[in-house]
Amino acid sequence: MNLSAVEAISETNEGFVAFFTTHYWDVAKALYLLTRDPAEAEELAQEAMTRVYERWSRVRTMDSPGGYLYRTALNLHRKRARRLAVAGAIHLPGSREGADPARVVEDRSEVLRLLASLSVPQRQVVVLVEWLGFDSAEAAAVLGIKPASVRTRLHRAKEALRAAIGEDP
Amino acid sequence: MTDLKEQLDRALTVFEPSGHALERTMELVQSRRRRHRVRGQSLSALVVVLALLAILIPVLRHSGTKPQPVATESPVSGTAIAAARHDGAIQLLSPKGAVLRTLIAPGTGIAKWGEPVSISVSEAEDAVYIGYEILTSTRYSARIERVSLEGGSPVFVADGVEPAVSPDGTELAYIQESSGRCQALAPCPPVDVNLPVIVRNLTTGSEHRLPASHSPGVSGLSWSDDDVHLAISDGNGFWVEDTSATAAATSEVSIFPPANSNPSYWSDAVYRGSSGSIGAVAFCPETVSCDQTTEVLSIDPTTQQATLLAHLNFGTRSLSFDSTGQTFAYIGLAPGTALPSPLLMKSCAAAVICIGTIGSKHLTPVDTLLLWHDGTTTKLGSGYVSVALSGTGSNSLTGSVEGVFDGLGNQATHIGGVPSPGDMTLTGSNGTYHAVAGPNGHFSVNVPPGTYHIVGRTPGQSGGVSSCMADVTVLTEIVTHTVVNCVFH
Repeated sequence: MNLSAVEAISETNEGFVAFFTTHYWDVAKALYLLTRDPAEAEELAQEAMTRVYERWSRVRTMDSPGGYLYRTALNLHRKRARRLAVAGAIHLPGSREGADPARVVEDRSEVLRLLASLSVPQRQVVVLVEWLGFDSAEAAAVLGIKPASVRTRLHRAKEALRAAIGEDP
Repeated sequence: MTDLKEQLDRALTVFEPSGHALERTMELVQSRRRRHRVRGQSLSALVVVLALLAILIPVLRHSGTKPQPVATESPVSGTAIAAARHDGAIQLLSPKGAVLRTLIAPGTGIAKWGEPVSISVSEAEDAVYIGYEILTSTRYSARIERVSLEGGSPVFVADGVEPAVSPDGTELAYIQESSGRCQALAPCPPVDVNLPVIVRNLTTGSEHRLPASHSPGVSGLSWSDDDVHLAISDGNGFWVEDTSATAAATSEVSIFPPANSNPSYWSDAVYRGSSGSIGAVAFCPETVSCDQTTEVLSIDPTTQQATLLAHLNFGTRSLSFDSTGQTFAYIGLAPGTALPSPLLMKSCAAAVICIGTIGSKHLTPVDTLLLWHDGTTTKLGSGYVSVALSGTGSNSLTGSVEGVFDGLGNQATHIGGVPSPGDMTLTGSNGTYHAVAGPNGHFSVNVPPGTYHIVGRTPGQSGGVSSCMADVTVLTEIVTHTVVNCVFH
């Protein structure tokens, strides 16, 4: 597909390209921190952007289109092992198992290895708050939980990380 | 831990995003659009219910004799099932799966070139609306036609698919699609970001476009029982719009999925008749691990809370509820069908979804027509792509009244004693039902169990009758016989 096709498609979706440019890499990076898999991170990010695009006429009028994007992306991440691939093939759990060469590289990163030791909800809170800089209310909106739950999860996640690296609380 | 963000930033230095992300996303949009199209063809075609069966069959049986009056109210009793086959046939079926009538023969008319993917019945017009998708190697088009239940050739209605006639028969909602020539190296039909949902007033012919219908994957429309709200599905989820003109600015009521469930994939959402809730198939829902089953959920549009209605085989689609929302028909796999693991789901024919093992050439078509009630599933037949159900539930859940209407008076006794044609009205706690007595006075009607008061009237009758009544008690699956006599002044 060439750029003109993108422009043609986007013509009736004013503002989407700008939204994409603003948010794509951040959401892809957040997903990389969560998955440790570059290919999967981009796949999820593009899937999330696709869903935003398909509902752009509604999403654009929301208070926080970016929040909708992150919520979609994190939902996709949470369900990635179970979700249906968009290309038509349906892989049930287990079909994605197997050695991923990218992971070998990723595992060199201690912080990512530690992050991967956390539960998915804890991991998501860490990425939203610590890396993306969301406050607990914003993270709560993305995750669909209460701000107090965000703070609790973050606290426990940090405790778990400290324990893993042998730090004192 | 204070430098956690710094460490995360450092970890991200090894992540080098590939280029062309926007282009890839747009390709994904196109891919999903194509998938929706295939799914729309296969899932579609809802279909209908012909409450009119109870009245039409007697009328047809006595065709050639004096025309009988047709009740203006819905004469629905029991269940009518309309289904589309992948050979193009449109059939009316009994709840046991017997073909009562073939509305359109296989491969005739538009079905020579296209797939009948969606059907809706207008009880007010005694007609069926059929949406066709036509796709050749060079051209694409979509077409809605209308055919009278009393015969005649189908007539063109609109360029589009997914016709849905409101329960009161006054409005037709459909997805407007254009026609054109397929372009080389491009998806056909082309990606269209705006597939407008149109609501046509069937009395005046005026149309208006729903303001929020801007999804490229719109694939299903379903009217609420109050004729006001339309559930619109787009493959990702569904939402409800208020179709009344005064609500144009704030037509969107809500966006699903429901608050307490977030499945990976939804089938088209359909209203559950008078219950007011919405039914949909959820694939890989949160409430169970993603095994080889799916859930049929019922969603309250007000609270957006979902409740589990049924566990069914993987691949279930084309839900259609009866008017009470307690019974539904669907296309799926017959109970007990062995499923491979891992699964591959693909389109193995134009409008048929198949399930098989990845890489395998052995695919099982998901084309069995099934009826569900209270946990029990009944297989009706194979070779179907979609179904619509209406009425008050499976006939197996109803009883029948068969009777003779002695409507004409005997001058000597002043008691009706001559079998004669007439309109029969049965009133009971479960509602009011109608039947037509033919020239020989015979009438037959399926009704839910209960006690009914029957009143008969001959055509054109006015005054002078003090009775023509009878009371009957109807039991499930039992035929109750009765005679309705008249007493004349």
